[in-house]
Amino acid sequence: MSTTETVRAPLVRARDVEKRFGEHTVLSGIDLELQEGQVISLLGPSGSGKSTFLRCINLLEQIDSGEIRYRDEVLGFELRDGVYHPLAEKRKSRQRVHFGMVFQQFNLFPHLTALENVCEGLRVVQRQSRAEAEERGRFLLDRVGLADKAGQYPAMLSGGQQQRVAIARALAPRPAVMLFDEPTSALDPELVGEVLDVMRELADAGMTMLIVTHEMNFAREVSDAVALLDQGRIVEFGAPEQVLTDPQSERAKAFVNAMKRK
Amino acid sequence: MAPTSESTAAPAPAVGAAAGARREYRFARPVRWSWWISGAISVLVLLGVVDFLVNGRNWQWDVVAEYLFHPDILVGLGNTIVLTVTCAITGLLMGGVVAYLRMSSNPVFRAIGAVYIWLIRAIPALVLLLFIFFLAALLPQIPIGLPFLPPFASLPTNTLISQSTAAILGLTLIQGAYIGEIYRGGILSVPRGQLEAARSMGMTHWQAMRRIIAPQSIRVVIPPLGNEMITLFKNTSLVFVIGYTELLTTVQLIYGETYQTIPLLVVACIWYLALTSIAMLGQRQLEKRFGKGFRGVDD
Ligand SMILES: Nc1ncnc2c1ncn2[C@@H]1O[C@H](COP(=O)(O)OP(=O)(O)OP(=O)(O)O)[C@@H](O)[C@H]1O
Ligand SMILES: [Mg+2]
Repeated sequence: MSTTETVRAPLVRARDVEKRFGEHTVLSGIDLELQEGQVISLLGPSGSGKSTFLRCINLLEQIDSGEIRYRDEVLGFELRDGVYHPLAEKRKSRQRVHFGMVFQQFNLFPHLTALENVCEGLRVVQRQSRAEAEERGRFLLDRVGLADKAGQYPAMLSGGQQQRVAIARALAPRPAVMLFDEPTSALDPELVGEVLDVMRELADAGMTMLIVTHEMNFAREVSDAVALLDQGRIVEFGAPEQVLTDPQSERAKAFVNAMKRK
Repeated sequence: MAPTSESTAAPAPAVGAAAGARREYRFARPVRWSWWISGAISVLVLLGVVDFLVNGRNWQWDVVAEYLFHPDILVGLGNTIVLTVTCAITGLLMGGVVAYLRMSSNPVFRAIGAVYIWLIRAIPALVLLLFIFFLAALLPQIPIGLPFLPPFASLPTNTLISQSTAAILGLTLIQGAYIGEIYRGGILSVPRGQLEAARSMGMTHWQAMRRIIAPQSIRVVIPPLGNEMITLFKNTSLVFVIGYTELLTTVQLIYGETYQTIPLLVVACIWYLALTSIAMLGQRQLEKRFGKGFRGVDD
């Protein structure tokens, strides 16, 4: 896509990331680079730490070692004299704006309509006027195919529609990176397609995306690279075809075979 | 487009049914015996109560009528309302402080909140009010300074704590503890993902609380809060022990002289009933207002 610059600094770079919950090490030695416009899918068995990794990037969890950067900015910490000092909540909030997060359970705000859900961040965080926010809100709802549902409350929408609103909501503040945590896992099978379609369009439009998913075919189709996580480590990384058809490590083989059987 | 479009086509004639001759379906209406029986019993009980109220000798309805709008009663009523509204406001604020302490990440704050709630639950309201009112006896001067060191200055307790400040202080402390727990319950009732979604889009903790968590907890908090407000309204009658002249104190003062105890208590009840009804109507309106987006989900 980018022909002018062949080598660019990655948009997000995780280095040797470690995360523990008490005694339990959930992530260890995670290295990952996400280039601008790139789509990377994270696959791996349940409990391997996929969600935790996304949550660390978005600062919903604080890492215990290593470093995650957005461009040059260290996320969640300030580096002074070689020591990482955790940032105050206010500054973390500001860094979170680089990322748009889509959750497995949608997490739409039930007391707000679809349009209000999409506008909420713009109004509260970006302090936009109502008119300005609503214009963008309507544009995004239209983009996910829900222009006619603007006034509906989440409880009246199907799961697929709710997740599309959630995607529009995450896109509203123009994040540089979209993070998806199993966006279709809570959906009835017939509703999965409409959400994947929206994500596919986003990928085609050049959005930088990190996607946790169990949809092998989708991952193969849209990803530039696939990372396979197991027990908090990346056990395999590479082009989708290679990782998903001809994995090298034993663990990766076992996982890919198990997924194929489903 | 899909092969399921049959339903949009004209209804197919039922097999075997002659065209035009539509069968009529008749449904029996169920007889709800339990409704009728309980209704009959209720009517009987109600009639009994009316009979008791109208024909009972000692109600002295003429006395009730005489005192219902008596100026002294109205003053007492006014004091009750003022005390209730004041303590409702201070109690709601105090509850916020208590909930903040209880949910803080600071362990010292959490401990303070817990001890406070524990004490308020343990001490009977009446006793607490008396303690505050008689604080002057325990602590004639309120010292300003550090414990064990000579105070920089001190204020005479008696001038600070009058009947009304003792009443307001006591009721606020009591309400604050219970309301704080109600708030906390409300906040905990909002699923975790809501806070995470709000934070993930860059809201600060307070923005998320105000815009996302609070509006959703209000719905949960209103019924117990309404309850608490009505309890407060009746609890104001406790301040008679420290001589604050609200409705019940006024009533007692009057029947202390006239010995018309029962009719005057009836007067007080009528007013409590009236004000409680108004408060409950207000609560209904609030519940409707904050139920937006939730109807059809859990009712
Ligand atoms: N807040 C937490 N406290 C303690 N342990 C946690 C916490 N969050 C996650 N874990 C643990 O960390 C491990 C990784 O969890 P994570 O949710 O990241 O896995 P996952 O790969 O997303 O799995 P799934 O496919 O089931 O979503 C699990 O063993 C989980 O129990
Ligand atoms: Mg997960």
